[in-house]
Amino acid sequence: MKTNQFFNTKRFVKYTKYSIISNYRQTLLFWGAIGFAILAISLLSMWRIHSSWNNEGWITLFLLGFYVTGLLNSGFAFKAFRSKERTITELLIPVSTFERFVYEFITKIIAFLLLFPTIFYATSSIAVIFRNAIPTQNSLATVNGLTTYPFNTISFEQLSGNLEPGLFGMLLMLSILVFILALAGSASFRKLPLVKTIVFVGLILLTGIGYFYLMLEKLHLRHPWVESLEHNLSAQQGFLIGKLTFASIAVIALIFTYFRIKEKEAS
Amino acid sequence: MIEINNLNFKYGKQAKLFNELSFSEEAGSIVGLLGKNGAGKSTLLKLLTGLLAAPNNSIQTLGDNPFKRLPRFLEEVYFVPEEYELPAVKISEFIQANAQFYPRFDNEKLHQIMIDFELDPKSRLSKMSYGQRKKFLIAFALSTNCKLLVLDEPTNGLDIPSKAVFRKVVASSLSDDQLVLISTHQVKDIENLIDKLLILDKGCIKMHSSIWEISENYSFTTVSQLTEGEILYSEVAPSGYKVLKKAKRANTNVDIELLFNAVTQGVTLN
Repeated sequence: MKTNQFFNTKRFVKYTKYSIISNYRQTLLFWGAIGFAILAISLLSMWRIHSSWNNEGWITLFLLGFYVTGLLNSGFAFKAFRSKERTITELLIPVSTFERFVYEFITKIIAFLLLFPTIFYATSSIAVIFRNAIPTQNSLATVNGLTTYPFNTISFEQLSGNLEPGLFGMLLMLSILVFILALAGSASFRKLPLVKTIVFVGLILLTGIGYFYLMLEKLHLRHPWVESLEHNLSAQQGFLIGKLTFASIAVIALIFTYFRIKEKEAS
Repeated sequence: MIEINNLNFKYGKQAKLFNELSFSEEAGSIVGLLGKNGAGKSTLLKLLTGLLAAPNNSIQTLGDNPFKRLPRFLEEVYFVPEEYELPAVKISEFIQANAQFYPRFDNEKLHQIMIDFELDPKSRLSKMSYGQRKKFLIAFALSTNCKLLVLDEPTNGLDIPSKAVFRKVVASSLSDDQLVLISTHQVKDIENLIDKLLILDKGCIKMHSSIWEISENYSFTTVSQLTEGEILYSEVAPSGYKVLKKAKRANTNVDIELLFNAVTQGVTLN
C-alpha cells in the first residue's frame, strides 16, 4: 500500500475542514452547554457554600466536570456511526481509516485535555467576577480566621501539589485511558455506546478486582514474589509501573479502535 | 471497471443472497439494475462500493478491492443511497465541505443541474423536503464526475417533472469514462435512460444485456388477441395483451417491465 493511501496531510486537512463545517453547530452547542453548566454550578456553589468555598471546592468541581465531560465527549466520537444512513455517508468520504482515526483521537482526547481546563478556568473566573460583584452579608463570613470573600478562581497547582511525585502522572494516564476506552466503545457500539462501554469495562474491572481479592485476601494465595514486590518496591516505582500498565492498555484500546473502524460495514 | 467473480454472500445466518454471482461491466454505460424486493440490489451496490465486505476478494471495482476503501478508490466512487441523512447545513456549506474531496468536481455543472431541478443554493438541507434533498444529492453526485456513480432508487420521492429532469441531466452529464449503476423499482423512470440491463433474481444474474441487443432480438407489442407464433411471454393489458416475441430487428421500444416480468417468471431469453 502506498503511504499516501494511509496518511496524507493535505487530505487530513480536508477532512478536518469537512468535519468542522458539518459539525460546528453541535460542537459549539456541546461546549456552550458545558461552559454554561460550569458557570451555573460555580455560582451556585459560591452562593450556597460561601463560608467554606475554597480551592479544594474548585478542584472537586473541576475533577467532576473533567470526567463527566471527558466521558461524554469521547462517548460522542464517531457519531456518524450511530445511524445506518450516516455510516454510509461517512464510510464513503475519500479519506483513509487512519486519518479518520487520528482526527477523532485529536479532537476527542488531545483537544479535550487542553480545552476543558481552559474553558473551566475562563468560565469559573467569570463566575467569580459575577459573584464578587454582588456581595451579601453572608459573603463576608470568616472561617478559622480566613475570610472567604472575595472569592478566588481555581488554582491548578493544588491539583498536583498535594500528591506524591509520580502519582499525578499515573492518575493522568488513568484518566486518558478512561477516555480512550470510551472512544473504543463509541467505535464498537451503535446504540448507547457510553452506557455499554461503562457496563463492559465495569464488568472487566470487577472481575479482575474480584479475582485478586479472592486470591490474595480470602484464600491468602500469596506467591513470594508478591510479598517481595510489596516490600522492595518504592512508591515511585509503583507509580511508574501503574503508568506503564495504563499506557499499554491505552495503546491496545487504540489499536482495537482503529481496526473497529477499518472493518466497519454499513449493513 | 467492475468485476465480480463467483460471489457468494449472505447476512449472518440468513440464507444465501448471492450464489456464485459473476459479471463484469466497463465504463461508458448507464446500467439499470432490476430485481424484486429482497433480491439483493442494494446489497450488491454496497458490496461494489466497499460498504460491505465481499468474501474471497471476489469483487474488484476500479481495479481495487472496494472494502479496503482506499482514498484513491473513494475519490472515484459516489453513491446516492435510497435512505440518507444529510448534515443540518446550508447547501453552500455542504458543497464547501464535500466537493474538495473529488478531483474532477465541476461547480458549474452543479449549478446548472440545480437550476434544472429548481433548487435554491441558499437553502438549508434540513429545511428541504425529501425529494428536494434527493435532487440535490443527485446533482452533487453527477458534478463529482466520479468514474463510478451508484444511484439506489434515485427517482423515489421525485415529483413527475423532476423525473423527466432527472433523465435529462443524467443523460447529458456523463462522459465515456464513467459508469452509472441505477437500481430501481420504477422501471418507467429509467426506460429511456439506461443502455444496459442487469436483472437480479434468486441470487443470480438472470439477464445482463444491452438495450440495443434486446431490441435487435425481441419485439414488444400490444395485440388484441393472442395468436399462435413465437410468443415468449404475454400479459393482459387494458387494450388486449402485451406480448414479448423473438424477432430480428423489429425495432420496437423495449418494454422493460414486460421483459422483467418475463425473465423473473422463468422465460429464457437467449
